[in-house]
Amino acid sequence: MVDQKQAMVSLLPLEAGGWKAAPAEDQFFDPETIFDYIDGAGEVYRAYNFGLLLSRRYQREGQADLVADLFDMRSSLDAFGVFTHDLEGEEAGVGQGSNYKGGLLSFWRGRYFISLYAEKESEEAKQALLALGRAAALAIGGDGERPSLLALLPEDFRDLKGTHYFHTFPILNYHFFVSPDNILNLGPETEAVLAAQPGAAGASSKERLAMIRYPDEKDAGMAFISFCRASMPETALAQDKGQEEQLGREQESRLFKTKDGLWTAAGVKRNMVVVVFQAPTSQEAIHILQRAIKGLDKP
Amino acid sequence: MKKKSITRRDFLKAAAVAPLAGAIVSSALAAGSAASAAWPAGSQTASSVASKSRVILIRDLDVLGADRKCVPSVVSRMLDEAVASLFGEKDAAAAWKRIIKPKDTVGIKTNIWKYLATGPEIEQHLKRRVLDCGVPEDKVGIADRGLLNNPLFTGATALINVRPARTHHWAGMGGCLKNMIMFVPQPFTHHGDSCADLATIWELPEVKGKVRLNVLVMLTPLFHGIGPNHYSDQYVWDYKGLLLGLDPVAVDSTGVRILQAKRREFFGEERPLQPPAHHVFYADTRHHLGTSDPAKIDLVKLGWPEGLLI
Repeated sequence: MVDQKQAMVSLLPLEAGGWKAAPAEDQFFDPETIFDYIDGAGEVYRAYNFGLLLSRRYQREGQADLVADLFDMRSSLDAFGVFTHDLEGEEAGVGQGSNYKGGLLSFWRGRYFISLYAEKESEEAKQALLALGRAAALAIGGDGERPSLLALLPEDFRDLKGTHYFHTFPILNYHFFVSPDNILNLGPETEAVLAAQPGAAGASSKERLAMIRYPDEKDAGMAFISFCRASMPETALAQDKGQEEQLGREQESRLFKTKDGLWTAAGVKRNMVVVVFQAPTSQEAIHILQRAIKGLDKP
Repeated sequence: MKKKSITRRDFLKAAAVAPLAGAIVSSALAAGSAASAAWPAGSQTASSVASKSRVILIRDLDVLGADRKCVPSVVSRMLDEAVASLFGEKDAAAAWKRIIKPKDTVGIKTNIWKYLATGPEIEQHLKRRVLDCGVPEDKVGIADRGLLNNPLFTGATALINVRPARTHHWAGMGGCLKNMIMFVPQPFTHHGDSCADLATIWELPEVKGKVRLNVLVMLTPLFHGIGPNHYSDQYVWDYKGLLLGLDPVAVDSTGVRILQAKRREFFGEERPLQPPAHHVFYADTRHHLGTSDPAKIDLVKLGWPEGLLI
């Protein structure tokens, strides 16, 4: 742990754009103590298996502070994932992916996610944040891999600005509320992407496509049954016995209409569950599901 | 195993019409104005008003000075007028005496979040009014943290609940309901399902039945958060208001509506709170702590009307 702390300290510069760090005031937080620092937001980073957070303030006379929060996410997949939790802003050309908005620069590189924040936004502060970010990205060094799940998304759902990678159902619900219960059996061992496609009715009603990879076919099958049971209790109950006997069957699918008049389609194939939410018509739901499942056969 | 492709017949066989129950409840809440619109607007007769939870919304154009600093004399006047109106009294002193007695031990549960704290102007005014009720000074305390180690708060007979309204990264909104979380030894234990069951905190012996007044400070609410620190000046606006009520659910519900209306105005589209502040809704429907339904809230609007949003 001491070595990792020292390693992280070395990744942040001591000065940028006239703002200077006071390293003696550096603070470290772990998954237990992060709530002392950022309250409920700590749950986001815990949902992505974060290991350690280094928080450092930079000061400049006559200016508001800059705050650097360097998260060791333990893997590039989770660094990417936590980056996708908040995708607001313009690409800033830092790290492997970055956003700048409202005095906040966030980016990821390798196993690290970094948030750089100006307590009062100004052009000077923005330039200092960018300088800080570039220096930290350089210090981190090599790039990390992105989740392989992204390559399974249909072409028209591959807008990285609207795609979230995650493991747990609270994060799914944050981006698109499905259920207060974990009806898709999400957890640390699952990987999921949620992608959006702009719909005819506007951004607020665009279709969502969720693709979830489970450790094995049985887990995927059970998740599919759970989702169908929660979504269509009448039909799902009648089919439970038959469905459970068919676990391991290569492919299964269901379609249903929600109370808001939109369509949901769900399918399971091998160790993957695919769900289309908020399709305006049944045909559209089927079409998206078919394309997504067909894509699972790609080498 | 033989490959089977999905046919239209497969879908038609399986098609069913059934709601995603959770999604429906929460999509209604997440839809912002749609949630409000979904509740019947209703007409307010005298008898229907009497059975509702009363919430006072008071605003004053002059409550903020330079650099958004709260003007003590103006906010004091707002609080007095709002409290008097809440209890239907001619003056604040009479109203306060209805909720605070000389023998009370009073904890003023404030909020010191560094980016948007309650502020001493409001805290000290509330304390003065409590003292005016005959409570000795050593029996009045103001605190946010460390409550379980603070004998005045653990032994309080009355609580005044006051904090600024803001969006919250995990609960959707930080309001009166959430402000009591510091009575819990490990607040993160209430994070499940985006803090859905915050209302259970109000069943704790340190809290239950003790909150005499809820004040949701809407002077400069935060209507959108970014980054781990969840704050940007860009997403704060000068609403210059206060919400007061006895029903914390009704107060928070009204606050949610204002925040969602501001988000709609600012972003130019429907941008529900993210995550939705469903703990407010569940405080009503699941825990019966109060009412979140605008049709069951008697909202009294006082003062500056421009930019009211609701």
